[in-house]
Amino acid sequence: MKIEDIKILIVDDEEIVRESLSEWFREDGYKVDTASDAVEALNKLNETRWDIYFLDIKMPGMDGMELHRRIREIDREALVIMITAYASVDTAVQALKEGAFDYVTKPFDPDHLSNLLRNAAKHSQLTRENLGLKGTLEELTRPPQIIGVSKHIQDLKDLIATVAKTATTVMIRGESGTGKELVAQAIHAQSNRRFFPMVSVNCGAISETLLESELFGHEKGAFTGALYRRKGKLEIADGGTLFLDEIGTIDMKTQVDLLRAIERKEFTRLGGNETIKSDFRIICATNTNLEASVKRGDFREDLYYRLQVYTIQIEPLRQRTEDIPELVNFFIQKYRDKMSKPVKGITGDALQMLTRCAWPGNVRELENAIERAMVVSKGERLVQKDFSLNQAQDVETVSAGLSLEEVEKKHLLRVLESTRWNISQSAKILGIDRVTIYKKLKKFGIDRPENA
Amino acid sequence: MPDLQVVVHHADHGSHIEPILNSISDITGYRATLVFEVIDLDPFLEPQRAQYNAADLISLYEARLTSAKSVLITDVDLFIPIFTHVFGLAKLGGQLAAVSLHRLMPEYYGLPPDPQWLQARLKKEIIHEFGHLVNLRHCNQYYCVMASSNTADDLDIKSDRFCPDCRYLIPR
Repeated sequence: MKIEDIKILIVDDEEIVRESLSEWFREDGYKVDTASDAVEALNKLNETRWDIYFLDIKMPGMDGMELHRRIREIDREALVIMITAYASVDTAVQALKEGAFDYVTKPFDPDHLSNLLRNAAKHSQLTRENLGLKGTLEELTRPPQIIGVSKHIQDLKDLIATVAKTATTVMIRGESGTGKELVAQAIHAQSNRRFFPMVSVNCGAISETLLESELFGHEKGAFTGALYRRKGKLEIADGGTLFLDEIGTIDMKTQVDLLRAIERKEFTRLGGNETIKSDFRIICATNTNLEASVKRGDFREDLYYRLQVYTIQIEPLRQRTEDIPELVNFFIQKYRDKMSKPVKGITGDALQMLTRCAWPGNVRELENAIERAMVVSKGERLVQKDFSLNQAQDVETVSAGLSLEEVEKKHLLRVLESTRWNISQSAKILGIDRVTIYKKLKKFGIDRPENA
Repeated sequence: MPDLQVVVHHADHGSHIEPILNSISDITGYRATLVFEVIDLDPFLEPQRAQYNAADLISLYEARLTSAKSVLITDVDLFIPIFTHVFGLAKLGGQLAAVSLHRLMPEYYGLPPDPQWLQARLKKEIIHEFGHLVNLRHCNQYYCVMASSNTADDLDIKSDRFCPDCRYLIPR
């Protein structure tokens, strides 16, 4: 913002002050207007926005102090400089406490006034710039889209909005591919921490020794290969959110350290003595049965309860098939833009076929299927044939050279796994009753898994 | 070449002006001439401040002078009611400006008299106020004579020349 863009309003009942000051500021290139009393000033404030106000404290009618309060109610970013005589410096100091930028005493020292205005103009420029950047950041940190029309997705969005405003630890549970990280991103983006980093760690993808260093950081020489001091993810996430994916896979030692770090919000780097403080919020996710891990003694009970403060359960896609059409459209749009392909939609047959699929890999699998179909598609709409590759794979798993009994066992298991061992739902899919399923399980010697 | 009158009301002040007249003409592109006028400053004295009101002085004498742009030089301390002092004063696009020697003299700051230093400051201040008379505003280029100067140090830092942009705006 240039000087010519800064607008100044001078409010003083003395004409000589208004004229002299406005002439002085105009010579410096500012846009200046004047008002002889508070009412005129408020009218001018309604017409346009001013960056800097010079307000005389003593004016007939509404005085400068009251006018200052009114201006701040209307425009909190405006900079107000109070004009005062030596006798009313105390009042000017009171104005500073109420948020005025500064005050000047009459008569003004030209050098002092010039510096004051320069500082105010700089402050105003920075404030505007800051607002602009915040706006850009808001754009960048806009919550990710959670697609779906089902009641579950609507409830999920409500839950996210509710929990985002708090600093509570959140546990997100759901099968692989259901979008646990997306939910974590949505919580972070809607929270007050959104301008700070969201740091993700996939605990399952990092070896035990490395995970400790990854989370807590290390000092130079802490272990072989630690050539430099390195900040850990807990430290990087200061002010923001730490997303720990596959939390169920971390080892006992790291569990103890993590519990202490979560409770005290402080820790030390590996090989270091310095206590690092960090204000992070934990969101974690798992697709395993943590309760069973606690029972087996693989996962600390105290850490489990510390992380389990608020749980969000994401249903698998097969239990909310009404979301599939909207997801399909979303992914078609996404890949149409990425691939610059003229695909506009999907045929009814193809969509029906997709709705009937069990999608054990959930939304991720659906997205991959759409991406693959988009690659091979030649028309304006995706057709069943575009998805043939996926179907061929499906057919292969059940049509290999197996005996009828083996096929039956394999298919039964597949359906049970796809419903997370929901017997009623599996019976419905297979077209048999629940008792028959139990009989077949006994016949094939299949036990219900612990985490089902 | 249009005229620029440098008006003095005290014969002694002419000795400060004559050495810098040609340079002022070269820089402004206006023919600078020295003019003596009898001016009574007493009506502009503010006894409580022991200073003279520059705005009133300009208002009264602007109409009495010729149509040429003029800069009045005085040795009294000038002020306008809202400011503690001014080195000089001019209205944008006006006819008459006033410049005070009072705070330009090294003696004011406890230093020995230095006529050359005083003339260098005076030249900058005359050209600066002339700039306002031809509608120039303050310039952001620190070396430009139209840069704002609120202290004698500010005056010393800047040059006595217009930057290319300001120079371009001077009506010929």
